[in-house]
Amino acid sequence: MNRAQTLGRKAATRLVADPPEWLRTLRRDAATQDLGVSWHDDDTIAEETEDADERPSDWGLHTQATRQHIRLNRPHLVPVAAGPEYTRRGMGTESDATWYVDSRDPQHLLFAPSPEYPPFLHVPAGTTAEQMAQVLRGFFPVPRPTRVTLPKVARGFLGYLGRLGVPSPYTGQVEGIDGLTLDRYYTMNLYTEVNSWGSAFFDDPYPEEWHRPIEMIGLGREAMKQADAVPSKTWRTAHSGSYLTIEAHDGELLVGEVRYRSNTYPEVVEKLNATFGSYFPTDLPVDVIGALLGFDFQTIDMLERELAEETDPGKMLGQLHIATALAYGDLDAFARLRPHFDHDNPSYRAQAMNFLLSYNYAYVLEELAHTEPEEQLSEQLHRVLNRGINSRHPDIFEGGADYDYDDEDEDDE
Amino acid sequence: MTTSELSDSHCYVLRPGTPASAVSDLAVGQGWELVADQPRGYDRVAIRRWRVTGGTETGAGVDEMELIDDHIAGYRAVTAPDLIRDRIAGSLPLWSADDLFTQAQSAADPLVRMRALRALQYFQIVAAMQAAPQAPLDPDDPDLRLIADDERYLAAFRRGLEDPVPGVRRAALDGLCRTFYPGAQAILREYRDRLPDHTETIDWYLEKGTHRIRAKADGEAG
Repeated sequence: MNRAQTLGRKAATRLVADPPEWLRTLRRDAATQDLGVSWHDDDTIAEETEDADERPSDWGLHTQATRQHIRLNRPHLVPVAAGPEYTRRGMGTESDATWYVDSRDPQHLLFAPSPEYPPFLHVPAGTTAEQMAQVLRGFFPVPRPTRVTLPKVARGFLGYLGRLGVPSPYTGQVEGIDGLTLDRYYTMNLYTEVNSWGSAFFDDPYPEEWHRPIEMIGLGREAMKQADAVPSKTWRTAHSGSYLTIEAHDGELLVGEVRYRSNTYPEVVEKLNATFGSYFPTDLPVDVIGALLGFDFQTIDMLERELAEETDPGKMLGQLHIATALAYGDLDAFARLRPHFDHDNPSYRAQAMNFLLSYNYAYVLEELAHTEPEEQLSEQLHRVLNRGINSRHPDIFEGGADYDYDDEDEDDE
Repeated sequence: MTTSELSDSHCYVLRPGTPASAVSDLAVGQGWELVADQPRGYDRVAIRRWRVTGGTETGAGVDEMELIDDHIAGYRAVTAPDLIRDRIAGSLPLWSADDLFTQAQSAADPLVRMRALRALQYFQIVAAMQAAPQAPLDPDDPDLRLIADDERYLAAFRRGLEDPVPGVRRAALDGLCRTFYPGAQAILREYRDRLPDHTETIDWYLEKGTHRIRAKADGEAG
C-alpha cells in the first residue's frame, strides 16, 4: 500500500466513523437522487479510497507545483457520492461526476466533474441538495451552448510557439506544437472533447450523436478548414461546454480565447491563482483552466500596463505585438493600443506597421501614411496601400491533422 | 429612375469612441436575443445580429438589428429595422448618411473626410440592397436587377478623387470600385489617366464591370 492509499484509508475510516451531521442528513435527502447522485455506502467509500493515487491522471500539462499540490491533498479527499453520469462526446466513454469531503475540514462537499480532477479544481458544493443543484447548473449543459449563448470572452497570451510544447500521449515527452500534436494532446486531455475545428467554423460543427466512422472522418476533415483569418483550432470543453480556441498569430504567438458562461465559484480560481502564481480570470469554468494548465494566460490589461511603463523600443515592440494579437476581434481594445503605433524611432514605426499589415488594419495605416515624416517609409506605405494589403498569418496547424486523416483513408482502402 | 433617398435611412455609424458595448448593453436591456455572431477575418468584417422585438401588444413585427465592426475602414455601423429606429437614434451617438456626406465634402481634417468616404462605401451597398427588390429586371439578364444610380454617393466619391490627400482618394476610389451603381464606370474611365498610381486597379474594375444584385435572392450580391 502506497502513501496515498494509507492516508486515504485513514481519512475514509475517520469520516465513516464520525460523519458530520450535515452529511448524514444529506445522504437521506431524496432530492439528491433527482440530481443523478448516488451516495456511496461505507464499504464503497473504503474501496474508493484504496484506489487513491498521488499522481495526476487527467493528461494535463502539470508543473512541479501542481503535482506537489495533488500529492499533498488528494489522499485527504474522501469520495462520498458519484453522479450524474455523462458520456464523453466523440469517445463514447461514460464517466461519473464525484463528490468529496475533505477529511481535514469536513465542513461541506466538494464537487469534481470527474474523479481525475486535481483537488485545486474541485468546487465547494455546500451541504444541501439545493446547493448541490446550484453547482451542477454550471456543468453538463443541455442543450450544449453555442457562440451566441456563451456570453463571456477571455483572451490570453499562451506563449511563443517555439518555446511551448505538449506531451506526446505515446512517449510522454514534450513535443512542439502543431495541428497534430495539439489534437493528440486534447484527445487524451480530460478537460476537452475529442474533436477540434478550424477557423472556417464559428460554431461546433459536430453532431450530438456520432454516425458511421467514415462520415465522421469526412466531417472531421471538413471541420479542419481555416477561414481567411488568423489560423485557429477550437475545442469544446468537456464539462462546462465552453469553447477553447488556440490562435496562431504570425506563426509565432499563441493566443487562447475562451467563450464561456461565468462560474459561480470565483474563490476556487482566486485560490488557484494565489497558489500557483497564475492569472486566470476568476470566472473561468474549472474545465477551461484544466485545459489551459501549463500555458501562460497573459491578458491584454497586463500588456497595456507593461506598455504604459516600458521605454525601451525593442521591448515595447514585443509587447505591442502580443497586445495586438490579443486585441484581434476587439476594435475597442485595439483603439486603446493605437497611440503605441506612433513613435519617434522610424525603425519602431516600420515594425509596428508590419503588425498592422498582418491584421489588415488599413485605416490606421492610412492615418500613419498621412503623418509619416520619413520619405522612404512613407513611399513604401503608400505603395502598399495603393496595391492593396495582402499579408497572411502562416497556418501552423496545417498538415498535422490532415496527415492523420490521410493515414485513415489509406487504411480504409 | 431614382433610388429612394430613404434607402439608407436605417443605417448609421456610431460616433468614434462609442464602444460596442453601447449597442450590446442596449440589446440586453431591451431583451433582444443575440442570434448571430460572426467573427472578423482578414477581409471579412465582424457582424452581430439581435432579434428585435417590439410593440408586442399590437402584434407588431420581429426583425433584426445588426452591428458591424469594420476593422479595415475603422468604423462601427448599426442597421436598425423600422420598429426600433427611433429608439436607436435616441439611445446611441450616431451619424446618418447625411452627416457622412457633409463630412466627406467639407471636413477640414482629411482623416475625417477619408473615414466618411469609407463608411459611405458600406452605406451605398446597404442602400442598393434595400432598393433592389423594387428595381426592374435587366432585360439582357433577367437574373439581375438594374440598380439606378444614387447621385449622392457618386458625387461624393467623384469629389474624393480630386482630394489632395492620397488616403482620401483611395477611399473614394474604393467606393467607386465596389459600388452597385453603374454610373461609377464612367467616372472610373474619366479619372483613369489622372490617377497613375491606380491605373491597374481601375482597369481591373472596368474590365470586370459593375457589381450586380441577383433577382432571385434580392440582397445577395451578384
